[in-house]
Amino acid sequence: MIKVIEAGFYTTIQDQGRFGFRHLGVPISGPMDGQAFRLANALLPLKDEQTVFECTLTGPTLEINVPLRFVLTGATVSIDLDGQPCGMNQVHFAPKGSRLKLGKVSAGVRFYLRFEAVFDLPKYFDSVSFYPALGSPSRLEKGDLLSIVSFPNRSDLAHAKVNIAQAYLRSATLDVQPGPDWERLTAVQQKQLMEETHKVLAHNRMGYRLSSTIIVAAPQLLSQLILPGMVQLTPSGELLIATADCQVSGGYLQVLYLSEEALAVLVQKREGEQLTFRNILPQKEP
Amino acid sequence: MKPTNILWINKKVVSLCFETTTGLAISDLRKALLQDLPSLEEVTHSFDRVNLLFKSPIEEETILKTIAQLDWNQFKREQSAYYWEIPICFDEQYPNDLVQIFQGDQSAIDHYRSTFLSATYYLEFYGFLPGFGYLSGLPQQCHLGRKLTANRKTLKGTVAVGGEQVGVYPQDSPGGWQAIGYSPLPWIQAQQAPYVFIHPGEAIRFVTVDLQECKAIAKAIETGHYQPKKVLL
Repeated sequence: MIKVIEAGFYTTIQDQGRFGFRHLGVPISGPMDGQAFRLANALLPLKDEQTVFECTLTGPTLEINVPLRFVLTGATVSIDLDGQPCGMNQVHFAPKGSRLKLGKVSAGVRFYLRFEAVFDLPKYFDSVSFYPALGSPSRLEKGDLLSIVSFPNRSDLAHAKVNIAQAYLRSATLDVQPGPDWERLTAVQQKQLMEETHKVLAHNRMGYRLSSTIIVAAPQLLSQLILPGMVQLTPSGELLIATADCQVSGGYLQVLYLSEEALAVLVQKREGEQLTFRNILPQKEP
Repeated sequence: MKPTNILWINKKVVSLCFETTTGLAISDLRKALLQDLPSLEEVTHSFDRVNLLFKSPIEEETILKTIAQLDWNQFKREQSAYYWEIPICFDEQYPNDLVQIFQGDQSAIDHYRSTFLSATYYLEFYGFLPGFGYLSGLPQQCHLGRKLTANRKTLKGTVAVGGEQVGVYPQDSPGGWQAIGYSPLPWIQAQQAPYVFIHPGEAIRFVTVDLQECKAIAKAIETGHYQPKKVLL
């Protein structure tokens, strides 16, 4: 059992997400930063069990009532296990009854806490990922109790620290490819989009809203498939970049598409930060 | 009904473009594609595209070959043999944008409602929200322009019209469509299959219920004693 002493700013539970239900209008959800999620799972793999806590800006304080190994990946955060500081991207052991306190991020926005345990969590469309429209909670709350079905009871720390660069947290460049509606922009608008600096105006698990100065007279578009990483241009000139909880379809111009790495860079940005796009495709022949 | 174009969206997603997907037997097409392409994970569609979402990076040649070899004539949608009866309540306790649209003219509102009720609708696809079905078949005189600014909150169960489309909000949500009535029937449930009871291509008719009947249906749904009604056409 794990008890939530403090919930942190916005903490959810995520697994790989729900695939196979987008034809029913169900978003995939899952982690915002897929890279950090995969690293956490690679460091503490459990068969068919990928559950993590996705924490935002400030982490939770947890009371851990079974001996568990754990790891943190993603945004750099201070980790305090019974008064001892611990490092990121490194497996640690929490003895029974210990208290894990996660502080504020010093770089990035979202970090991932993975325990080597199978939790007893309700599934919605084959996934435990929080998505309140399906009936799950929207976030962890103070006082929540999380039951554990099984855990391997290992305390060895044989894994060396992964020397992963946290450098992507400092990157401000997003690798992109043209989206399905790229050709609807004029050459001038395309150039403008790629050369401008875009400021993060707001973000949540559905998407990021960025500034731009490109105004396209809005054609009446039919709603089309939206994927995490799709960059949409709204009639008011804002960019909406779809992320994990994005709607499955929408009717804005789909001008660019982010690479997986770029999506991880994006979701570690906060309001006010500046970003530019970089085209990874070779320039077209004139 | 062959695709007119193919869009390679990214390394795991391909969209097949059509003049329109109305008239396409989408469930059969989905089955055939999932069978022929083992790494295919999901098939979704919109008004004019069928999207193929793969688990692993796609092989262009295999996809092109599969599409070329499919007998597209077999995916013609057949006329639905039945329709689902969807209860709709026009009681004044529910939001109703028709009052504003018709400036309170009750006979115009009544006329709108009877025209609305006389039509048979078809579920085209689910999108926007889990269990939000886009319905076609709205008579032209019932088309309503979308709101200029979206509502902060359209209530769960609101039957709404956006342009030529109809939908029932499966949850509270911001929304830009015009509210015309309320339906207590949930279209989707999250914890076990079958997750939905109405499938793309199936027919729907709205049937009026008064507030008392509406509440009784809601109660029956809550206790698990309600079965959506299927009527032979």
